[in-house]
Amino acid sequence: MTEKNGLLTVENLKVKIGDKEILKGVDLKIGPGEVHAIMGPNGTGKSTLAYALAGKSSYEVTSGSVTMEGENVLEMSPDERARKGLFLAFQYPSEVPGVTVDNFLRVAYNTIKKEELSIWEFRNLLKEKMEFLKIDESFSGRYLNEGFSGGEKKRNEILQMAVLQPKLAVLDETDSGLDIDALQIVAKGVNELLPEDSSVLVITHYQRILRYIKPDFVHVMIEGRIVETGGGELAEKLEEKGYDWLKEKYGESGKDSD
Amino acid sequence: MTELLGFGWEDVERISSDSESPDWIKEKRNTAWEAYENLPMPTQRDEMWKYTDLSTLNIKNVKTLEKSKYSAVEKFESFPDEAIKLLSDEAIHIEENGGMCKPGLLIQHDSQVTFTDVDEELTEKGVIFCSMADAVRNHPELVQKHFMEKVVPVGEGKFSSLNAALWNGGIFLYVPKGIEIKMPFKSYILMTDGGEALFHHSLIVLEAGAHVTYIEQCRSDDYSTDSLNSSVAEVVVKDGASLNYMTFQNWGNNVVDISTRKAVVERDASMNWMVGTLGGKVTRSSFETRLIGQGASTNTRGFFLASDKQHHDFWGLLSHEAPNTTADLLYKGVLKGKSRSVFRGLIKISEEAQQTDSYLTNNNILLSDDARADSVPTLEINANDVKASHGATVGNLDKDEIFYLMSRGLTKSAAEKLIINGFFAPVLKAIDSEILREHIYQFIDKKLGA
Amino acid sequence: MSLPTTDIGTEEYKYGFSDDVKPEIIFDKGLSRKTVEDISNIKSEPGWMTDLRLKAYEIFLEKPMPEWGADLSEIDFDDIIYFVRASDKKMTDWDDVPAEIKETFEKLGIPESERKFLAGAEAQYDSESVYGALQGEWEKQGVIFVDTDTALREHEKLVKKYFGSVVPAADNKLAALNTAVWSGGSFLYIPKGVKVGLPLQAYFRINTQNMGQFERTMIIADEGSNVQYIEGCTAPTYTTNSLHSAVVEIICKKDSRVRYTTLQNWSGNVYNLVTKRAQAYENATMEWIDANLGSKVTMKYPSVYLMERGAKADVISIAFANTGQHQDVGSKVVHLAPYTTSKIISKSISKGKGRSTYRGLVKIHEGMEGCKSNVNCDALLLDEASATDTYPYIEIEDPTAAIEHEATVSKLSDEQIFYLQQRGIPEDEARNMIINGFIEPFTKLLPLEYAVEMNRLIELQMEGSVG
Repeated sequence: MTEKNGLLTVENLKVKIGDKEILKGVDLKIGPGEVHAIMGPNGTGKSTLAYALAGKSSYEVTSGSVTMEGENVLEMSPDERARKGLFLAFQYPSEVPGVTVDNFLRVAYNTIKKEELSIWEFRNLLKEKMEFLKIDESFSGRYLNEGFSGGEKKRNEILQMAVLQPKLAVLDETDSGLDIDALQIVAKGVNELLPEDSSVLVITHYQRILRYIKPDFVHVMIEGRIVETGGGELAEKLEEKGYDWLKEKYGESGKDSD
Repeated sequence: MTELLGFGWEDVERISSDSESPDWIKEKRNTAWEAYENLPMPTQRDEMWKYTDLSTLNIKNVKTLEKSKYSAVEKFESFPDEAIKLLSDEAIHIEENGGMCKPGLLIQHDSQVTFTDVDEELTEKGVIFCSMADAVRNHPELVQKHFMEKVVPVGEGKFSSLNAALWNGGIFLYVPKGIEIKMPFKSYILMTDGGEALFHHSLIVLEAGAHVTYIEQCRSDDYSTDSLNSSVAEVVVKDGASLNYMTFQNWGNNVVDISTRKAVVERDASMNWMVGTLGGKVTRSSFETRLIGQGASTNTRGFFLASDKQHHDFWGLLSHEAPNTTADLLYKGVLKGKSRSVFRGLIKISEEAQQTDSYLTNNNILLSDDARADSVPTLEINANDVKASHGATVGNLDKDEIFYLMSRGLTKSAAEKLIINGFFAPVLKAIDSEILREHIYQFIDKKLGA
Repeated sequence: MSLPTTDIGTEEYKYGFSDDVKPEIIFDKGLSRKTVEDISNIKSEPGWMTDLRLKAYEIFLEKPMPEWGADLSEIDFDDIIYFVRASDKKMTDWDDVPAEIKETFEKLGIPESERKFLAGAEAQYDSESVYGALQGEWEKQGVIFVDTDTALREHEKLVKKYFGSVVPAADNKLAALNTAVWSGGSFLYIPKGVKVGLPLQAYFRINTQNMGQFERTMIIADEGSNVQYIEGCTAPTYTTNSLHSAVVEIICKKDSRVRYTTLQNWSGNVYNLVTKRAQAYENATMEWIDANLGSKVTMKYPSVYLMERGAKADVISIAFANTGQHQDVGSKVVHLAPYTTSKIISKSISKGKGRSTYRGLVKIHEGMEGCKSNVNCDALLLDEASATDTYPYIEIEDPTAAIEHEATVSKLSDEQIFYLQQRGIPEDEARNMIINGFIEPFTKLLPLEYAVEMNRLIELQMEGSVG
């Protein structure tokens, strides 16, 4: 079942890691230009959803479907999904020694955009985004994530997003470990460096980032399921009341239905 | 080259006839002697002995002392003062505990076990802590299948074979399933004369889920003639069990110590070694850990402080033979005078040992122009999904650190001692017993002060 | 630097072809005193060299084969051809080189690169050099760059002074063999203060089956001089084994700097057993840049003896061991003077059933104060059957030394691959990117043309690794 006007449609997605079922039937629809947030306590499967969407091999999809613009995402390799316009800002990006940020990102850019930008052309493009994100010029010559501080890693993820211009950007706990200045820069990047019709899925534990990236929809995930959906006011309610009331309300039923 | 050692078949025969040992032990001695005779004496041409020259040692005439000048006693306080001169710290400890030696204490003077005390409650639960000689007589069903079989088989090495032929002394520790004991079992091996030869052989078997600590200390006074100590320890740690094995060697200045300790660690079990080499003339100690069960782990901590012409040669093997095994070895040494140290370590990861983490580190500080430190930290990796690393450093004391401390009013020697204590701290902090740790710090202090 | 994308298609070892060159002279298989004498006679050598060869032959017979390291049991010294002369004249103009040989080298891209960026080139085909040229500018400044046979004829005094002074025949069995039967190799002399701006290159090609190539290379960098020398090696793929056993001797005099780069890409049937050693005098710097991609077995440990105060050794090497290969490589630095420094970086990649071994020694002698040494070995394992060893020997006799050794072993991480894939990069390209990044500390020291070639060769080795 696909909807022409939807960008991403997730239906009854179940995901296992090893023997353990983490996602127990997730439904989610994201339209073009929409900002969604998934909130929830630690260990409820928020990041699992992010990895599963991106196609990490150890995450086994046991049932359900994921489509992007009507195409079956689950059949695609991780790089095909990226070329389709799915971008994941990693919570813990890997270090790749010896590979510079600009070189790596140019290869990615040329592959996704099917272009052949020269080093010089690409550097100009990069420079502009780096200035916006207040990233030092020397950064582009450093090895990818090697020796980066927590904040630098996160900013690097947003820089990559800004360069690759995805249709859907999934931000996995991008706010964690950022001070308020860095968080504002990151949020500004998300708000202003993506095309109008790009969608964003913010995965977070805290409401903090949602003050700067205003969500159209807020979903709450408990024990592998989305249990509540609402607008921005839901995030505020969670900030105020915590997750316990939801855990009480949905926690048991989550276990029962297994 | 003249013979290094003067032992002969008659020594094996004498020991066999002297003791009330069972036939299978006599046979074992015979096979071991044969193996000893057939194996060549290691020379510096052998890779494993490259940095240690045995040919200059003067131990041809060392003799075993089956009967010590001290006779066995029932109660610790019955020892003559002279016999516990080397045990002053332990004596205080026992006194403080109202004469108790819980969970177990064994003292060996020369080749004779002179004192054994074990917590009776533990004995009732099936824990055995006794001399090796008693063990082969009283618990053959537990001893025979392990004694020089799979852990350190007869014929594996020249010196371990000699030990198997001439052993006299050592301990047997057996802990049944699931028993956990916090306080350490202790043994003291003491030499009371120069020109001695000591061959002790220990076996420790931990059944599944057992958790214990064993502390072994070797001590002697200084004598003018050279002595030989040969230790062999075999350790079996079964599923989910854990053993902390601490061994501190503080021989007098003319003791040559050639020892082998080896553990086989089964599924999810852990084996932690603590090795302190303080005394002796030439020490060659070998610590091998075979992680044969999935999830097995080992942690080895070692330290030494060598001075004068002391020679410390350490060999450590971390053998990963099953998946998900982890190992960490840290060995730290300080050298002064004309002393020499050799560190040789090997991380070996077999094909089946995927998802393995292994680390090996050796740090040395040279305090004098004439000291020498050789370090050979090696890796042999046959599986790909592993994280392994080793590191070695040799350096001197940091002049800036000394200057900083001196600017705060410390004398130079106090500053140096402080830095050296700090250098040893990551190893010594693993010693639970405060008394013991203090004893070691005092020893280090004294040795640095000289 | 860009990551070249190439259409390497189904190519395997690209240089595995052989030619039908009819050699001028080809010896029968086997080694005897007469073989040694014949080589010397053919070359009309001075008596001292003949004597040196014969003495070395005796040493060769006495010395045992090394018992450590790789498995050398298949080498049969009687099944090797010790001398092949492909062409009786050495050419200085490329057009004069015999057509078949020329074609071989052209396939390997030799004259092309020479025109582009080299100060001079030498090409050895089997036992002897077939071509040599040096740009006039350097010749005028007194640089000598010829093959070692020519050097012996034209610069006998220099050769006699230094031959065997760094690597004596008695050093090891293979060095003795080389001294007995050596032929060809480069001889390079850089006069005082001359700084050669462009690299000099030598190219070594084995063509004849069962051939043993025993070149002897000598570099003498006089005070304050500076030179960069690059050598490449390839051979046809035969079912029987060939032996390459070179000796390289380098003298870096006061304040000089020598960079010696090797791109070893022998075919999978070559035993590559090489002794390379340099002596570095006051404030001189010796750099070994050593890549081992080919051969069946390589045992090579480029060494530096730091002879005088302030001398410096830099060794950076990579090894790629694929199925059927054992790269047993490393480095040896002996600090024989105070305030000398050394740095060794070793990177190895094992793929399939390949085995790579790092074997090294850092020795600081007593009384040599203020020495520093830093050793770093990283091994990357690509497949379950791949293997790696690290055997670093550290021997320190001076308390003022500062020595650090570090080694790590890791596998190509799934996390890294996934991360790059998430940015749109296909899996095989992601692997290549990670591997090229892993060896980047090495490739960045190569001239650009070589760096590109290097990455291409690695990609070639990586072919078919994505199942």
